[in-house]
Amino acid sequence: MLRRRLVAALYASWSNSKDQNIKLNVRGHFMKKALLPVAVAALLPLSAMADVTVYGKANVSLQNADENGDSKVELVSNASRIGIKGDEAITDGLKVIYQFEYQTEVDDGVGGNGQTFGQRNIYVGLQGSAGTIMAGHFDTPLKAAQEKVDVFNDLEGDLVHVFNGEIRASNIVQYTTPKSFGPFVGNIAYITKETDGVDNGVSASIGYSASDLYLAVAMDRDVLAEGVDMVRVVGRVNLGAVQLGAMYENTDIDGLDDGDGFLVSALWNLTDTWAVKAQYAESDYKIAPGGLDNESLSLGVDYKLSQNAVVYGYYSAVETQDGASASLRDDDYVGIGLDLKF
Amino acid sequence: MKKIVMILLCGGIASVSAEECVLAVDVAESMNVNASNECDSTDSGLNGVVHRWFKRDQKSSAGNSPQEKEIPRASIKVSPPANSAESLATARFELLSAISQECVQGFRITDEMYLPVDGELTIRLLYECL
Repeated sequence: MLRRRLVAALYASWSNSKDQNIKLNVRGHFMKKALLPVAVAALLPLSAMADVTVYGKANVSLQNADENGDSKVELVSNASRIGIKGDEAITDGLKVIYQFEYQTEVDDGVGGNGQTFGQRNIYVGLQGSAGTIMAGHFDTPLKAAQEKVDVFNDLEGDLVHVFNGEIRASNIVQYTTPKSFGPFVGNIAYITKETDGVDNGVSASIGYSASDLYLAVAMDRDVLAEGVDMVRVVGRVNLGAVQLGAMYENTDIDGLDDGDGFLVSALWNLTDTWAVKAQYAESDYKIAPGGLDNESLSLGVDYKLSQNAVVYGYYSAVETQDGASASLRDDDYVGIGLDLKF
Repeated sequence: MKKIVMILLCGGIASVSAEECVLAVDVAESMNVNASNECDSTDSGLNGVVHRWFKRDQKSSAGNSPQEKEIPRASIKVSPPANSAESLATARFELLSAISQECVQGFRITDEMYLPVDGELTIRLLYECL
């Protein structure tokens, strides 16, 4: 009961907050002005453009959504995006790195706040033998620590619907250890709220990354909101064609109840083209949007058309107790889609 | 049950392919700034078009600038005097051989002169390396 009141209060506070630094949009922080990536590209010097990589993906699915008793067929764009990234050498051991990435809605062309392009991971930084320092608007180390364990990333089964730490932060400065550390990598980020009297956030992670094994521990302090701390532990192992993943997250709110969440996933590459996958996740509560006893179960199949294109089918069941109204919500989704990467 | 799992895993191991490169969009999503296994897409797809376009653009802007335009440097080689048709042909061949060693990508003869010296002929070749 205490937990329900807590989440309801947090949800209400979050919904009414005018502070954009606290009201972090977990699905993409949308720009106030529609800014074409092309315009950004045009601002770069010609020498920089020579080393630029244009990339993106169009991920669209047709799904039947049974949400809270209402059933409808909908076409959804699943975090489709376009971006440019690259680097420019300053000296032998030092280079400037940059990335500009924007989300676009393939289904109807309109994203959040009525804008066509929403800002995703954007940064500029310096990379050298001592590591990388970068600044901008991008995923916190805790969010990035999930690596590939979420096998329904960007779909309805995405762990963002269950876990708290999926934050793309504004005004973030990050240091990453250098390549010379081999499979070990450490990240520490400082997120300024740009508000007097509000504690700024810190996010950090340490990981070991090899092709068949990935392990990471990450933490957030005052990132989602002042007084909210998180710890996340992630693991992935590849046993031949089978990938197994697991994640644990603890959310602690100053002086109040803390909540746990976990995820397990499996992906099996049956052949070079066919793969089946399953994922289950649950958490005690989610702060924004507020929800209690969240559960998500997803099953899916992928058919690889090429290295860049995948046709997929999925079923996801997402259950949550609304933090504000305390009503139980049970949503089901079944759909097919196409994911094209370039 | 254990047997079934083992069979599935063995089947999986048999069908696993070598580690592939990672597409730029996935590298970007991972926020891994140290990634070294990103697919090289400079010659294919949209990036191929972009890179070719910029290379062409750079080339044409270089061509439009007289200061930056590379002017081939003309050189000259002279043969020793020859007093017979055979020695003249040999002298010319030796000149061309010497030029070809200097101009590994080929050359162009821009002028060829035969000058009398004490009743013999000297060959003078003007050339430009390609």
